[in-house]
Amino acid sequence: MDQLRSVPPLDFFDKKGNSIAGTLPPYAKLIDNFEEAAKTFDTYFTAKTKRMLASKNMANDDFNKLMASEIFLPYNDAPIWRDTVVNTLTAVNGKSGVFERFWMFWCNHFAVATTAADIALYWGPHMRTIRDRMTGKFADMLYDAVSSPAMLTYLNNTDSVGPHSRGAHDPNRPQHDLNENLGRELLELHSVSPAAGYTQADVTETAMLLTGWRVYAGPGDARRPKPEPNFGTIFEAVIHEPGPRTVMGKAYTPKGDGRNMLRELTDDLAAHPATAQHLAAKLARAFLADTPPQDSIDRIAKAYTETGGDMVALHSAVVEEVLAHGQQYSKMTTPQNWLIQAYRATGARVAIGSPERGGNVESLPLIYKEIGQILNDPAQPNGYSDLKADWLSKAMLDRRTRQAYRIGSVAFDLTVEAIGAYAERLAGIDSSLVPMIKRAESRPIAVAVLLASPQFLKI
Amino acid sequence: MTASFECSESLSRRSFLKATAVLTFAGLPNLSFAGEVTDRRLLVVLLRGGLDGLSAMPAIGDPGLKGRRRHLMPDGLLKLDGFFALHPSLVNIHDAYDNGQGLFVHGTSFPYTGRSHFEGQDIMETGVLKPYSSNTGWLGRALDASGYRAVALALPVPLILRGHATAESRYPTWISSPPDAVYDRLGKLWAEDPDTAPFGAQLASNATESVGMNASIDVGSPVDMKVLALQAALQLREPNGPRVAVLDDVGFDSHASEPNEYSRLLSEIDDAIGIFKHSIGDEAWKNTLVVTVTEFGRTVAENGSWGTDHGWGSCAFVVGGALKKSGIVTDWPGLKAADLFEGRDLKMTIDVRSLYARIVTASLGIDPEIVQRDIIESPKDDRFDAYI
Repeated sequence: MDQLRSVPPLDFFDKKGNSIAGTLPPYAKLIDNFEEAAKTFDTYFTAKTKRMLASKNMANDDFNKLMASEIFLPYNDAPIWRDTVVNTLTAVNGKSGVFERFWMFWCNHFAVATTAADIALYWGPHMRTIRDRMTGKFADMLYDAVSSPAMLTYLNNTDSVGPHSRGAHDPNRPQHDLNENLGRELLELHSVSPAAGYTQADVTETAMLLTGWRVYAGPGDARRPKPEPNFGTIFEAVIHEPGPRTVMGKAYTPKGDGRNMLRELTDDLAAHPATAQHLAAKLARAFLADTPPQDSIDRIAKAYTETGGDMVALHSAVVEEVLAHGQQYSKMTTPQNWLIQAYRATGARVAIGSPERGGNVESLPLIYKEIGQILNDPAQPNGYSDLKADWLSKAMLDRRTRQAYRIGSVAFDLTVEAIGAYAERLAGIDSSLVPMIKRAESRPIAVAVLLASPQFLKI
Repeated sequence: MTASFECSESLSRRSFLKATAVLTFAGLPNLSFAGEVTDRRLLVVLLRGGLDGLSAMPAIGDPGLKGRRRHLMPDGLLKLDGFFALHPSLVNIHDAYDNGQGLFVHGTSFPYTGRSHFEGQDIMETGVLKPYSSNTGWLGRALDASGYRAVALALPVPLILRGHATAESRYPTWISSPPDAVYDRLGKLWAEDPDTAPFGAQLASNATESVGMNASIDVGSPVDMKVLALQAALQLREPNGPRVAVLDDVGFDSHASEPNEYSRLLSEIDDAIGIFKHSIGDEAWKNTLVVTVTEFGRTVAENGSWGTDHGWGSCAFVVGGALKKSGIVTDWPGLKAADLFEGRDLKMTIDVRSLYARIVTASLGIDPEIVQRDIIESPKDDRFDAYI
């Protein structure tokens, strides 16, 4: 459990654990200041555009099509590609697989969708802020994740205006009233859950309290951004709803311009017993069983409560439950976890592809999409499901089978014998999986059968 | 970027054999409600996010509407009965109405006022009012009772269809399929595991066909709702194919920029319905119903960002050649401040489960008592009998 105590390095690791970052285009550099990141993207793609303009001599229509596929699409896909690749290579080739699984969990807990709000540049910084909070207190993670530029934009807090604020009466502003989207999900998804019994009035009050939290627009924006983490988050007092607020019976009083209230609220939400239960149940469901025993949930919740929401204690409690009781249950892997396990097990080189060449070649985000879990684009703010029923269907199994065969085709280091030995360890020597693999006609077939077998699907 | 599915005609004989096998396996259709079961078809369109019924079908005759929605009223509304109008994107749905094939219900929803997407969607799919208490969907239970097959044009099988072992999902992929030897072996392994058994047998027995969707699509090309609707039509038009198809659309949660978003989303749905009607063919269309399902409606007043927040009452659309006539069914709750639920939402005055219960009986031939007991419990609303 030592690996849960400190945040492991995040990098483009190869199989030997060396970074391949130096071999990647400049836009693969992890820059969490999105203003600087945008500059890097601009510079690279502007240079590429110039090269194309100089070399192409073709009809306008063809040229425009080429520009769309060679410049505009990759420009938009590059940050998503970068962050999907670095996360996957760290999970596959890094040394702290357990930590990485918890990181996937928290990124999904604070899910954002880049296509819903055009926030590709904010997605990586959002996830890395969460990562940096995984060895501290949940209260810190909650505050930083909810006030990250990605979340403020995705759940429309950037559109919300206190109806009695000075800004509400400014005809030059596009918005003049409340948007309660983030307020509701902060209570429902990120912290206490509906089990806490809050009302519509609590949702409205939370949304009022959240008004003013917005995102720095880049050069030319006179508003000052918050320093990192969460570069770009700003508090705009002129649109903050004035006055005290009450959420679930607790009063919040503005000091100065009112920016103090969010931190006070998220601290109280993090300390609420319903949050401990909600997080514990969700973790137990993700790591232990679709319907975890209440004892396990209670022990995890207790570890959280007794340590004031300490993340290391929380994660350790989950690991203890899995070690003690995991054998009694089976968990169907999510596509994301399955793909990572498949690469780890086979040692096949991760097909990272490239966002360039028009996006019309396979790249890692597209593979995630085909197996059903495109990381940057969950359909809804509750993220992806951990439940077996959501991942078991003919089409879902077929997609994993197809991808398994592709992995087998490039798992050059493996022999059928080695795959058979792995199957013996995984499923037991008497399992019907073992002869199936040992009699396979080829390595790709043996790998596909292993990776799509029920035993591997449920590790 | 185009997506094309394997043409289903070339598979008709094999599809027929497969259908026969499935029917034998599942038992013959339950004909307890004798006489009504025919060759009805049903397309269910899920509209996730909470459909703003007042954008899709504005009550222009209610003086309370305009003042509260200064930025949300589209130009070029399509005329209905004078009191209601349709969003200009809904041309195919409007055509259906003009041709005696459109039934619209307004001020309707599930009796759930919690305003949570996730609880709301659980209820709309399970038909059970306590969230997260059922792992089967009302449509899945209906299929189980009728013995018919269903197909979801969605990647995971949506909860609404679960509970029915043969429900399958089809969605195009560019990843090519491995040799049959892989499916043969996996079929045996999957058969040994209770979780994978129902799917393993299907996959192994028809590796290249039904897994299918051996669609040739470009790598990474977006999957268009129209393509899925076309596939639904090709499946449902087969004489021995599935009777029920589900389209699963998301994005109706219009907290901001609703005019633009709804023009796009409603066009997408309306185009999909148009393609579906065209592709299923005149004969099958006569026996077809298409119905929309959403988790809740939205606030009557627009919010600060040209959008609306989570509410309660919405509208539901039913179109299809199997309708007896066109009409609008509503107990209009009104838009005066005192008429709104908690001062903000359009009220539900018609329990939408009554509509779905009637559709289950009409399309799948299930006895109303069984519908009430096992599938979707709801207050009886005789008004739907005149249309469906």
